[in-house]
Amino acid sequence: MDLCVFGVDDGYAEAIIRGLRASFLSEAQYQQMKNCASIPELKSFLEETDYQNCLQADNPQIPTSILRQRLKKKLADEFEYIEAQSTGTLTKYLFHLRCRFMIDNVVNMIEGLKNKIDIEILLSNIDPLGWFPEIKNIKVLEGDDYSSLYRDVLIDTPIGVYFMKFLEESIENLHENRTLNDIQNLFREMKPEYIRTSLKKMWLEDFYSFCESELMATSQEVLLELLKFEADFKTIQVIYNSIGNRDLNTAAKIITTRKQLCPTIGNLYPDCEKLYLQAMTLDTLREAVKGCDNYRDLLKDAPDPLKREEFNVQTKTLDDIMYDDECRRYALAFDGQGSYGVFYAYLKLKEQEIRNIIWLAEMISRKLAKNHPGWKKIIIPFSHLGK
Amino acid sequence: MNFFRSKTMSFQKLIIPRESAWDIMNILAEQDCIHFVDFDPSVPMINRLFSNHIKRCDDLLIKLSFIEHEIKKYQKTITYSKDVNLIVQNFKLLIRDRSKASQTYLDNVEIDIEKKHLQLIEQVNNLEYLYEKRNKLIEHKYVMIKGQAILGKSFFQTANYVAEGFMNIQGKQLDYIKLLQGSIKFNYLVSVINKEDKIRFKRIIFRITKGNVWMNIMDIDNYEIIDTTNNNLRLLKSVFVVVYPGGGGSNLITNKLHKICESFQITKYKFPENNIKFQEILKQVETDLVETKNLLQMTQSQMDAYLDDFLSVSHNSKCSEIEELKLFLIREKYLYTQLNYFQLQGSALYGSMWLPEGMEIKIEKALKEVQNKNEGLPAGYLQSSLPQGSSPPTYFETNEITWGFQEIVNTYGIPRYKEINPGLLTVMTFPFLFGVMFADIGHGLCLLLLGLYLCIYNQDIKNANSVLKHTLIVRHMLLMMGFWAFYNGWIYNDFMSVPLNLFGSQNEINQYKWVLKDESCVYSFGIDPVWMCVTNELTFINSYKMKLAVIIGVIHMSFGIILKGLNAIYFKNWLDFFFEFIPQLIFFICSFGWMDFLIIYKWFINWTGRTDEAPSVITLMINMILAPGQQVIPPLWGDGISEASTQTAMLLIALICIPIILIPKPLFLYHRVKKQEKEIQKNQTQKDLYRELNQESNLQESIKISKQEIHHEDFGDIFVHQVIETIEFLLGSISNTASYLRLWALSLAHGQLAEVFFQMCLNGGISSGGFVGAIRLVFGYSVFSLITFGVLMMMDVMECFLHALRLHWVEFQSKFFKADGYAFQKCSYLKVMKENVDLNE
Repeated sequence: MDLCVFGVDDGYAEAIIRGLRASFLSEAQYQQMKNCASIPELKSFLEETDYQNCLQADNPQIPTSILRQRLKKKLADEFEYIEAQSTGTLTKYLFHLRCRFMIDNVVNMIEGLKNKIDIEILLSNIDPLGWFPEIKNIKVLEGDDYSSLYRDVLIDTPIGVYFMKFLEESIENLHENRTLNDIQNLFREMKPEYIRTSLKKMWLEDFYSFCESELMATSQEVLLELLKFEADFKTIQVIYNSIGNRDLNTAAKIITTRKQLCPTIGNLYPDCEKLYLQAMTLDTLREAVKGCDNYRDLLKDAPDPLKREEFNVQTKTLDDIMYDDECRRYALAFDGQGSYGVFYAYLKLKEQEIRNIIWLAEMISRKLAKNHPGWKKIIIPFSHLGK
Repeated sequence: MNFFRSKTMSFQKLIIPRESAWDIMNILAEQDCIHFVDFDPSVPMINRLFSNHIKRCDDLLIKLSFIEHEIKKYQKTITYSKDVNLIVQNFKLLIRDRSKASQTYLDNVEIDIEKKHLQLIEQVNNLEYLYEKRNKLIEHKYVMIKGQAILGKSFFQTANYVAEGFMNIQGKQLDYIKLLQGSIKFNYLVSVINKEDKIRFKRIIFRITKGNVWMNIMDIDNYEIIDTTNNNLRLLKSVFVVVYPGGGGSNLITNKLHKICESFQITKYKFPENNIKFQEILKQVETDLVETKNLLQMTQSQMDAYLDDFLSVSHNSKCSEIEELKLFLIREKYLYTQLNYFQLQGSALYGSMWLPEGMEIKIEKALKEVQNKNEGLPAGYLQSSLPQGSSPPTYFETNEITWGFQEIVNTYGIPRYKEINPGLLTVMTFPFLFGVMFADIGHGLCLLLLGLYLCIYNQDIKNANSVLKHTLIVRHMLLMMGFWAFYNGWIYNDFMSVPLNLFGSQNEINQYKWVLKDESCVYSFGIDPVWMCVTNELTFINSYKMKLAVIIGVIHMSFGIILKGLNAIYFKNWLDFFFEFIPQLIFFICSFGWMDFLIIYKWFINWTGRTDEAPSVITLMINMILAPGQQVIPPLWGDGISEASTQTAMLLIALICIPIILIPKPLFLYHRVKKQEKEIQKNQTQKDLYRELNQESNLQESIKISKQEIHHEDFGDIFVHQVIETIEFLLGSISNTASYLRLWALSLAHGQLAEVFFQMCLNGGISSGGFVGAIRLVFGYSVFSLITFGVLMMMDVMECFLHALRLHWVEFQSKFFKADGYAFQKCSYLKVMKENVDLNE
């Protein structure tokens, strides 16, 4: 039924995004990019693609960071345009998508301020997709006082809700008769990465329940599936990264932290929860997730986190493996009709494309040999479909 | 009959020494008759020889567009070029008069534009800076004025100023303040904030200070503050005053407030604490403001004059300088793009091209001309050679009349090289088929008049910039369509649903019955209007139009099949001629040609008085297949036996044709493929030997061989292909004939619509007559005319157009048209410049 009425409100936005499908770089184009010898050459190549207009004003020796910013700006512009064309639920939905970038921006700002990086540089590095006016005011953060940051600035931003939940949870975990000092200590020791992961987890759960309650059946079917996988991947990543982590020295601490960071949705939760929470080596993790889908295969090729020091550029990390698998799923979701999944997939795939371009730009600027395995570490959107 | 086929092409190699590349290419592009072939399309453009020249041109074009943008910002009008010929001539003169090598003109232009661009940027920056300064001064002024208004005049009175200041605005709190006064000192923060940030700012201040401040905000009602970075948009700003406790020095609140101000990017303004200083600063600001404004005006007028330089119109080219520069750059870029199709080997460029036959002399002459003009330049060298790779491009000369029809054909597909071009035939058949569907004297006349108007006043309309300008391009098409609609209207005798009795009907009423005046007389032209008045009007007209439609369709399609035969003869493809064209034509004539014969034969017989004896053509056709050989009852001629035997013969001939189409062709093709394969194998062994002898293996040769190998097909594929073709033709001949019935259907729809409109709007008024009738007619007519215009003259024209298009593309062209050619892309300055000039409109 909802396929009949999908076009009434969202047909135009979907049509635009389908049109943007043509802007993805093809495998042949990636091949040509790999053949570029220098950054100016890469830039002039990109000027022949859909990225033409966003790069024209820059000088040929464009630094990678600016290049990334330009590419992201283009994506953000497209997204904004679609947002402007959307109505009702779709607008809400698209806004939810943006929240993920807002979280990234906020955590990046906090991290930058902690490391005493100049505010101008921080502002220029903001992801344009997650821009909101209050972001500039994060500057008022003093020391590690996240609760006052929340109270003063973030409270009426879109991500304020997540931040509040995060603060509540972290304070709750302290022992009963806590003092102000304890709270301050807690914040001081907290790593921005930890904030990011827990905020994202909350966002994911929230987005999941939004999709579950407000979207139409076809969109639900596609999106919930995607989000479940994303949640699972997040869980696996959290466990994987916490294996052999020196900051988490006691077993109890590891488990509580894991419990806090792992999303409570997905295929792994709650059936395998007990197992994965206690997984202390890669093998036990593999064992814990073997019940679901092809996770075991995914983890088969993952390098052992205990030998983290030995990793280098060539290593195909867990992230790479997951990106690859995700990319396949998103490409499938993109080609599906009549669902909101296409917007999500577009964003994800374009992000992957930008990551690819930046990676290649890095490789080119480092002047690595053409037979270096790093050249193969790009994941081309839609390349999975042909096979 | 050469003009039905595309021009003969010859493949030429051109060798240009690198030094004279520009001059030679320049003159060749002026010839307007060459199609350059890319030496290797897989090489990306950026890796080509002249890519940096193209890049330079692009950069300059961007700079020019920046200048153009500035010009538009100052609301100046650029005179765009109307006639690119003038510009081409102008460049020719310009380049001839230069003493240096011609290609260096780009360098001159580059230096010139870059200099001007830099100057302009400097000016713009200067202007922006001044605007910024003015904005700041205005803000400062308003900080002073509004700040004073908020804080009250008594603020400057030294004693008790804090309390008084509050009292002026919020008298209620006076008691409370007075209690505090003396023990706490208050600080002030006065500045300007964007109006849209107002609420957010207020909220954040409240939160951060936990409500321990007092603040007030007032909008600036001045619209002079302009955002120069964003298209000179007006910025709305507000002045705010924050009063907070906490004496001098730094404390928590002060720090926080300053941080917030920084994060909102607020500039701090000085706000004096006593009246004398206040007046002083205000005065200072005012004078500064006046000064800045004067400076701003001066810079602006300077800029104005500067930009005017770009707008000067030279008498040679009749357009602004900036337009001239732009077109020059486009021209230059085009030249280098064409040169990029050449391959550099040693010190010469090697390229290949397609030339229409007979143009070689022209090109040779042009090459010589270059050498004569610039002594010392090495000449280019033209050499005819065997074509490599793809087949030649298809090139037709079109004129204003044929252009539109050729476009109709090209939209479907470009004709194969040397194939009969349906474009020219379409010139006649398309308007005619349209006319059959749109047949109406009145509506056709309207269209005809529009066409005539457009044709006669062509030049005037073009110059007057009228809305009709865009229809000029199809004016001949409209004229012809109108004419045929008009003509067919006469045949159907239909004037907006009313038949005209111009020649006097041949029937008269005799005792309440229509009888012919005279046995042998007929109505002079078209259908007798008396048909309008009889009960079986619609049945008669429909049957007549249907039969006419089928007759036209069969003739049109037979013509298509004959064209296929002509193509087969031209390409000496005897296989197609004998085993496709001939059996197809016979099949078609024996089946649907026979039907046409029956229809026409039936028309020739006078059935008056014995209408029940007339056989139905449909029944005849059905029985021909279902009951072959049986006596035909009622017969069309004779006793029905001779008719039956003729029909059986027709049927047999048609059936025999089917296996002839189906079987021999694939057998022959397969045989041919086998033979070719053997030859290739033989060649290959020879080549292998040759390669062994010659250590340098020729890469290109091996590529060619592999291409031939790919061509390999097995018998199954060929046969299945032929089966599909046969079925398509057989079913197609039935369904396509039926498809021509749209000629009747649309004409019926048109007629019925016209009748409904006439009945609803006009008929009532006419028949009631008198004063009431006149009033009704006034209203009725306005509705009638609008609805006729909207539905019949716009929608129906479009609909008939589309259906005529379909009849050509599907029913007619499928009989013979391969449409797998590619168009001849002539290298021409005029073309590329014209495209650009058209963009300006």
